[in-house]
Amino acid sequence: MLPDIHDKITQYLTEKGVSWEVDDDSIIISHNIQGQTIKLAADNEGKFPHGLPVFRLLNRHHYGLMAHIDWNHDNDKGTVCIGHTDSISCDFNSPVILFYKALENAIDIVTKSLADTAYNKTEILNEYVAHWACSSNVDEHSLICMVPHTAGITDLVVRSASKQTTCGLDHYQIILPKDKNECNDGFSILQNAKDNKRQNKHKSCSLEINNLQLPPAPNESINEWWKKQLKALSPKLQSDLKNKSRITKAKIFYIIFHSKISSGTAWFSIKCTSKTKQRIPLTLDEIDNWKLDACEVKVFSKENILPRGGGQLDLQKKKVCIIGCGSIGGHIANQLCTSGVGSLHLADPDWFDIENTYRHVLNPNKCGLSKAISLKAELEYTYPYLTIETQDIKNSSLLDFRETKILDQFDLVIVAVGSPTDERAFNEFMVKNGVLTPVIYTWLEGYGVGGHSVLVDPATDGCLSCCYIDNTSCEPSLSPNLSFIEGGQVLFRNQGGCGSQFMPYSNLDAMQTALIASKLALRSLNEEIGRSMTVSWKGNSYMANANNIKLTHRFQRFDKNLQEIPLVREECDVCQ
Amino acid sequence: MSKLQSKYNKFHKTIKISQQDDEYKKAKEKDDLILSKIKIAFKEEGYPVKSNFRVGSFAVGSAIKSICDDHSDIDRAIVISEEDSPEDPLAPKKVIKSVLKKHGFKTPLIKKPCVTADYESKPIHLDYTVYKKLSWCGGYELAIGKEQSNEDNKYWDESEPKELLEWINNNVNHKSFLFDLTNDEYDQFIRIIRYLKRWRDFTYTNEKDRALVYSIGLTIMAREQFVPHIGDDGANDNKAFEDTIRNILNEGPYFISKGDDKYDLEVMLPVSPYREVFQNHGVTVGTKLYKQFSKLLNKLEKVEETRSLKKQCEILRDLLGDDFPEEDVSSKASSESAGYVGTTNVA
Repeated sequence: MLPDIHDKITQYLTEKGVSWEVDDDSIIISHNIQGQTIKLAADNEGKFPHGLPVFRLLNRHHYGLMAHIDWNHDNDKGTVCIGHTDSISCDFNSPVILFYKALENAIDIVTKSLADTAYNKTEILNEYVAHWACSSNVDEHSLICMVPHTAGITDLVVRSASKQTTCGLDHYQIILPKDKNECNDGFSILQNAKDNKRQNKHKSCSLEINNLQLPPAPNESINEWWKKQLKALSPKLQSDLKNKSRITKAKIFYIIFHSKISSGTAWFSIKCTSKTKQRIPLTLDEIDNWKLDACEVKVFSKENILPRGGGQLDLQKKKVCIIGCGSIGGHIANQLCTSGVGSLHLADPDWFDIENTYRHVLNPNKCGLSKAISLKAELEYTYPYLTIETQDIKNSSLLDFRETKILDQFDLVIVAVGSPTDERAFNEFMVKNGVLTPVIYTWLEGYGVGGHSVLVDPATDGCLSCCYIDNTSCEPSLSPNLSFIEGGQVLFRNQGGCGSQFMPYSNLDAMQTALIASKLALRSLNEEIGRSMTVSWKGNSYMANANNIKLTHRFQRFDKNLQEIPLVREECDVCQ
Repeated sequence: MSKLQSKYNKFHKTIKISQQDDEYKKAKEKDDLILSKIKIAFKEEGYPVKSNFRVGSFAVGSAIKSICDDHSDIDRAIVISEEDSPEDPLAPKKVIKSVLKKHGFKTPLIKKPCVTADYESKPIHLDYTVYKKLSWCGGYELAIGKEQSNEDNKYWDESEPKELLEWINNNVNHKSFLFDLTNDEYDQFIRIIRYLKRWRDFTYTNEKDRALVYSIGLTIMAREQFVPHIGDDGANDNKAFEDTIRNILNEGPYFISKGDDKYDLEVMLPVSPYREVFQNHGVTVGTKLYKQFSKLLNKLEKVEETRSLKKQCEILRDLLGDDFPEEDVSSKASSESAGYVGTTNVA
């Protein structure tokens, strides 16, 4: 805090009748609450005035558990939580007012916690994990708990951190169920957890608590807390724990607790250590033979991680078939996984080539491998709650999917092959055979002009062939009426006379096209649309103009960027 | 509305003449022959033809098959140099008349701006205009005068035939300064011109009345007031036709009320000599055209409001004649396949 601001604040506090003194660089504010004087220290730290001032309650341990005020073992000060600085817009041009308003807020919090016992208890239980963290003084690597929420007692294994590293995933201890994990086997954390560099395995169990006691107060030992909590457990659970203790001996044991609180499920743990191998401390008799320490737990469960990362739990049950795992299909697969889709079926008859680098979601080290299989490996490595099947490469073309039995097993089929002939043939099969699985067809046009996605919902009017009705003649056409580039132009290029041709477009174009397809896919899977639709994104004409490429009327007049446009043409001789 | 658009497309295919049509090819053959004879005759007279170019509906691309006389019109401009040009603008026109007479055209006639003639044995109608090209500026002057005109009515008059074509054929959108017309929208404009000309030919059963509703007047009004309608569900020619007529009637400066339901019609040429197209008979044409346009608009609005394709076709057949197709439920849109086309789709 700058000296001139410091002086203005103290002057203002005096004007407002606030009792204050200066100790070292801190301003100490005294306030009377129900006959007792509390002291708040405004320390010279934090970003103030570009953030809120930090107020610490002195003599913190004396007051026991207090909502919204932390404590620690190192000193007798507790920070009053008056808000997260990053989410607050401060008037840094009026630091005196900012300081005073923050002080009023801090005093309110301390007053409420001290004066209103019921409020204090409710709030502490709501913030259980934060209060548990105050008790934790274990110089331990953090625990990642990859365990689903299960009732009663569940056996677990703790894979110790690698001793060679001090950062990254190797630095974490990982807790796994003893049997099947809910993650897929290829998931990165699971693979890391099972790696041989994690030499030690410790026994552990998870325990669901229904009548959670308040967390340990300052100066209260974890042993005392656990005894108190154990006594409060149901007789049945106490009996089960006793049995567990009777048959299990260890030198290091972790108890992982989880309990429903109003803001979700609180997860926390106790590390139990003993010099000799003995019965684990799950009974009152055993507890005093152990040293117990509070530990924090990072929960890695489907219910926790998916919503926190923006994924939808409901989509875990959905199965989507993606035909075409090129630049667009690859991004779509990735985007659907990030959204929480639980099951994919990938098909592509092609191999990843070194030329696909930059445009494709895959790493160049997949060169020479099947695109679908490589994508499966990459996605399963990144996303835990995911099952991926791949189609036999020999039967992976779009036309191979013209079988009702195959298509019926999917909630959605996404076609990203960029082949209008195959797509129209597939569409005709779908319509003529009354297949009820919705299909999204997606493709982009070169030179950065845009891309398109077409959702065909078989329960409603409209099909892909509706996009093949010429807008002027109103007759069937071989070019899509969504196009931004006039047909019949030479658009492909070759490089160095290599014999292969390519359409100039960027990975960003592929990603943007994949995005509109993925968004349509999610709307379809969530049953939010209820009719066939098209969505186009329009880029710019800079590159096309530079290459003398003619653009369509639709490009020039298109003003429905990213909007859903109903799809049906009464002239369509396939669906109408 | 798109099923109706199919009908409009069919109608358009029926009424349009393009350079691939036999009617055009026959007329062109004759035109080429006459042109070669004119070139010889002009050379002999001492003012050789320096250039020639197509004008009129073929130059604009809005030619239609006539329902009145079954003739194909070809309009051609003959250009001589300023230095060679005779003082009397009637002289070259008389030479053209003489050439036409010798080559099978019945009663060629020298009109004020042109020489016109119908071929005796084929349904071909030719109009020739004579221009001298000014050496100092590259501009043109049109040979004005009839055979019986006195000296005051015979003169070379400043004219911009190419600029007029350019004014019609460019993609300026006169109703919106924000966007030029796209190619598809310009094509729609050309279709609207054809519908309008066919509507005139069908509506004005009296030949004299019809002859006064000049195509160039209709074209200028439509070009200035054209409202394109092409959306993601395709083109809507009916709406474009309707909105264009509504604008001509209500927003354009063309119809001036003279009381007693009489209207003067003033349509200015957008290029030199900036004369009024319907001069001398503005009230005669204007009064009737205003009424007919109002009826046309009313019917087109009814088409928009009507859901039954059958009724829509009936209304349009009343307006545009029997070339507008009837509703035929059994007929599906069908066209000869292109076999294959290159598309821009990639994934």
